[in-house]
Formats: sequence, structure tokens, C-alpha cells
Amino acid sequence: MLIKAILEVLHPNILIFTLLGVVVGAVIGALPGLTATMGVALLTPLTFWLSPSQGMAVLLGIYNSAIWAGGISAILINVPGTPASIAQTFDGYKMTQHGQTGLALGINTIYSVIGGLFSTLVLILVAFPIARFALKFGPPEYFVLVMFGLSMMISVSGKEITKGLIAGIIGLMIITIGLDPMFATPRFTFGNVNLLSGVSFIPIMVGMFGIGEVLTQIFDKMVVKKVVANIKEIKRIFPTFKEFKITALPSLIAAVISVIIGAIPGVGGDIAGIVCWQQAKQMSKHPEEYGNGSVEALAVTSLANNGVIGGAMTTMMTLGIPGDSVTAVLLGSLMMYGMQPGPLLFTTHANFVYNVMALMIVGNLLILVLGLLATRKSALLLNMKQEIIWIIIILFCILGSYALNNSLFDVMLMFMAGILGFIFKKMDIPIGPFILALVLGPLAESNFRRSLALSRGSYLIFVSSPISVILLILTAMALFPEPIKRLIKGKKLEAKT
Amino acid sequence: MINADIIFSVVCLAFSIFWIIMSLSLPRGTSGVPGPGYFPILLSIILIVLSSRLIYSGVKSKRIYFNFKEKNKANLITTITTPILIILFLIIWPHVPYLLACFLLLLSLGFLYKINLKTNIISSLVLTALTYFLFNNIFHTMLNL
Repeated sequence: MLIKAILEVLHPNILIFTLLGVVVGAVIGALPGLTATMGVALLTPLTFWLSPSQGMAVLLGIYNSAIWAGGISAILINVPGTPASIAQTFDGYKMTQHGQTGLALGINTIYSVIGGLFSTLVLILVAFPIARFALKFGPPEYFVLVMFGLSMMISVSGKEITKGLIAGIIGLMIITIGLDPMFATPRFTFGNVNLLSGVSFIPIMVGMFGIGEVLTQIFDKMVVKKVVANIKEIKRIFPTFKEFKITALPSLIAAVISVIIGAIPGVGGDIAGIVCWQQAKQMSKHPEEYGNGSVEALAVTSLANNGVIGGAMTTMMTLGIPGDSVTAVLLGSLMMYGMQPGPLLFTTHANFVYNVMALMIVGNLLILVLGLLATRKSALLLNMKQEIIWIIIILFCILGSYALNNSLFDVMLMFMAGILGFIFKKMDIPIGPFILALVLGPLAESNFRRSLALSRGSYLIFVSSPISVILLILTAMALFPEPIKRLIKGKKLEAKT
Repeated sequence: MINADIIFSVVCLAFSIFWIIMSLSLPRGTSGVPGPGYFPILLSIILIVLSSRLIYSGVKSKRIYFNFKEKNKANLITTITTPILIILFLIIWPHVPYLLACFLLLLSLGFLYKINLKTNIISSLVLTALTYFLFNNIFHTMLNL
């Protein structure tokens, strides 16, 4: 099935869209301030006219490529292109200062692709068994699972849990606009026909990640340092056999860690990169080289940020719970194509699932080719004027949201979401939980009410199965880590005395 | 100085109270099946609790998110003018052809961001034409309202 899917996505009809996604993703990723999440959100409305496989080819191409290309600016100018490349600045830029720019860019490409392919392999191996297990979930388990996903994203995406919770609750409140899913009663529509079908999450995603980001950058007057690396100095790109040998074991460990981190809802490549860097440093024979331009360290961090993608895709596709903010947007995109991620996707659209896996493989191979061929030119990307990028983003936000339904109402919605996104960003309110609540909200409400209908109004149904209980405990641990830690410490002290 | 935490919390409080009032007019559920207003009321109550907590922490910490005194005045003007230009574009778009409305928006944004005049005119023309071709001819979007 997978081989058939690979042959299918190698057809020029789909391959061209994967290549387009990889190229667009490379530009987005390499430019500091533009993230993979923004890229996927901006391009989602434009893929509306494509088949689901073609659309996913573009979006997965952007996702994989932007995460890889984020390392380019981290290496060349010490500014991470995307948050996932933070750890690459530790050693990548030092290598540039030591005159090893080419090698650093080569390592970034090769190890990012290895990480991407490894995590895709894990996706291929574990996705179907997880989906089969998840088929046993009933409405209470699903509701608790959605709450768990939301709580994880809240707990890791901001400094203050209260703000994350507020963002999530506002998102859940917004999805109650429109026809009630059980009785079809209009709610909070104020007589506006545009609101009868609910608030569309695509314009909101586009506005929050597009306009919101542009306004934040203008307000903070983010000026990107112009590239300082002399492109002519780029010499050796490929690591030697000895360097490959040294990096083999830490890379394997980093690959496993990053896939696991990716599968945890809310945790992304930034955390994976730092965790893997620290882990590899502890294991290394030369820990003093870490942070001073270590080839091993750069290999591990490059591998880690692309390694999370397969993990994040696994939870998104099998359970419908995204692993990070990009997969939260991808979840919305899949729903726009009429696909509901979750275990049923694996039975009703098994071919599409295999296509996604094949697209991940092909996308990574294209990154390898593009990355190695265009290494010498990649620095030129950083010379693009920030102001022109802002204008392009604003224009694409307007046209992308309008093009969905040829409706100015969607543009207004996008615009308001952009202003809200700006306020959220400035006030350190995480956007991830808000978007996730918008995407998963209908699932949460319908399963919540169906559960209560099944139990005739008894809340005990949410603790009636071991899966629900475990997920509820994990949710509580994610939202209230301190009181739980104190409780455990107190119990230990009691036991000692 | 503006305490944004408190303002935001008060807005959230007002929003949740409004949501509860609106939800109370919705039909009630029957024999254990929650009605359409049940979920929104539950969420509004949680939002009231969380907003109250944020007000409390806002009073305690007095964090400043929008420090206008320190900010360069030009940044502030640009930040406010950008959404105004977008609103103006949305107002004029239904009344003039897309090509003109878009060109004016891009030109004014370029002027606002202090892009060199020649580059500004060329990039505005190119982007307008490119997006018209892309959306009108490829995506079949009705750009002329």
C-alpha cells in the first residue's frame, strides 16, 4: 500500500505541489519572523481548490521544509528562522565564525532529512495500531482526550497557565456560535446569516498568524540582521565519514527522543532541540565543544527539530489531537478538505493516510536535493526586505480569506482575528490553545453532551473507564503541576514520619 | 500606564456575562440531555473564574505590555495606520476594480513602511498584477465585487 502511495505521489500531478511546498517552506523558514505555522495557515485557503492529496503535498512540503530552513538563518546570522531552530544557533553560528559555513549548512540539511525520515518511519509503524486502539474510544473518552490535548498545549505554550486557559475557553466559546450540533437551534447568531454555519476557523487562523504577526513585528520594529556570512567562503558541504561515525549514536538517541517529544501534544521542535542538545552533551566525550561549534551538537539539533514532525503527525492523524501548533493548523486544513482526523480516518480514507506518509518521505527527499544543491544560494534569501514581506503577508491574508467563499465577511473575520492575535502576542497569551479550541471545540461539545445524554446527566461517566481516568489525571497534572507536586511531596513526608 | 491584564480580564468578564444572558434564552434540555445553552453557560462560568484570577494577578504584578513611552512614536503610528489602511481598502474594494484598490493599498503600505518610491511603485504594480492573475485566473476568485 505504501509503495503504491509513493508511486502515486511521485506522479507529476502531485510531485509539482510537493516541490512548490518545499520551495515556499524554504523561503518562509529561512526568513526570521516567519514561522511554519504562519506558512501553513497562509497557504491553506489557497489549497482549497486542490484535491486533498495535492493540498497536503503543499502543506506538508511547507511544514517539513520550513523547519529545516529555519536552521539556515540560525547558522548564518545567529537568528533562528523558526522557533524550532533555537538550539541550532548554539553551534551553527559558531561554525560560521570558524569558517565552516558550508559544512554547517550541509549538516543542517542532511540531519534534518534523517530526522524527518526517521520520524516518518515511526509514523508508518505505529499509526495504524494506535488508530485501531483509539477505535475503542466512546464519547466520554473522546471528550477527555480533547481536554487532555488542550491542557497539554496550554501548559507548555505560555508562562502563565491562566492566560492559556482563558485563550482556550474563549476559543471554545466562539465555536458555540452557529447552529447547535444536537438540536440545530441558532445560537449567538444575532440574525446574521453568515454566522448560521458557525465561525470559520480558517480566516481566524490566517488573521492570527498572519496579520497578528505582522503587527507585532511592526510594533516591536523587528529588524533582521543582514547576512554577514560571505557566501564565497562556503567550501565543504558534506561531513566526512569520521564525522558521520561520531554523530551516529547521539543522532539515533536524538531521533527517538524527538519523535516521543513530538507526539506529546503542545510540545514542538524548540523543546526537542534543546532537550536533545543537553542529552547529547551529557553523553559526549567532548562536552566542552558543545556551544563552540561542535559538529556533533549541530547534527543532533538539526535532526531533533525535524524529528518531531512524525511524532506530531502521529497523534494528529490517529487521535485528532495535534502535537504542535503547525499540526493544529494542519488539522483544520484536513477538516476543510472534508476529512476528520482520528481513528476513523484510517478506515474510511486509508489510501489518503498512506499518501500522507508517502508525501512525508518524498518531501524530505526533495529537501535533501534542494538543500544540497542550493546551499550556496540560501544566504541570498536573507537579503529580502522585511517591509516587502509584511506587505505580501497582508495581501495574502486578505485574498486567502476572501477566496474561501468569495465573502468579505471572512475578510472582516480574518482582520478582527489579526487584531486579537496582536493583542494576544503582546500580552503573552498563547495563540495555540485558542486555535486548538476552535478546531477541536465542536468535537469537544458534541462528545460532552452525548456523554451526558448517555448517562442521563451524570458526570460520573467521565470517570467510568480506565482510559478516561488516566487522561483526566494527566490533564490535571498538566494544568496544575505545582499543587500536585506539593501533594506528592507532602505524602512522602507523611510516610517518612 | 495601562494595566492590560485588568482591561483584558474586565472585557472577558463582560463577554462571559453577556454569553450567559444570551444562553439563558435558549431552550432547555430534556431528561439529562443538556440543551443548547448548557455548554456556553459552563464555559462562561469558567471564564468568569479565570478572569477574576487574572484581575487579581494583574493588580499584584502590574506588568506593562504596551509601554508607549519607551516605544518609538513612528512604530506606534505605523502599527495603528496599518489596520486603518486595511479597513479603508475593505471599504473601497466593493466600489472600485480590484486592480485599483489593491494597487492603492500596496502603494500606501509601502509609503508607510518607507520603501523607496521607485521600488514601491514597481513592487505594488507587480504584486497587484500577480495576485490578480493568480486568484482571478487560476483560483477563479471573484475579485471584482
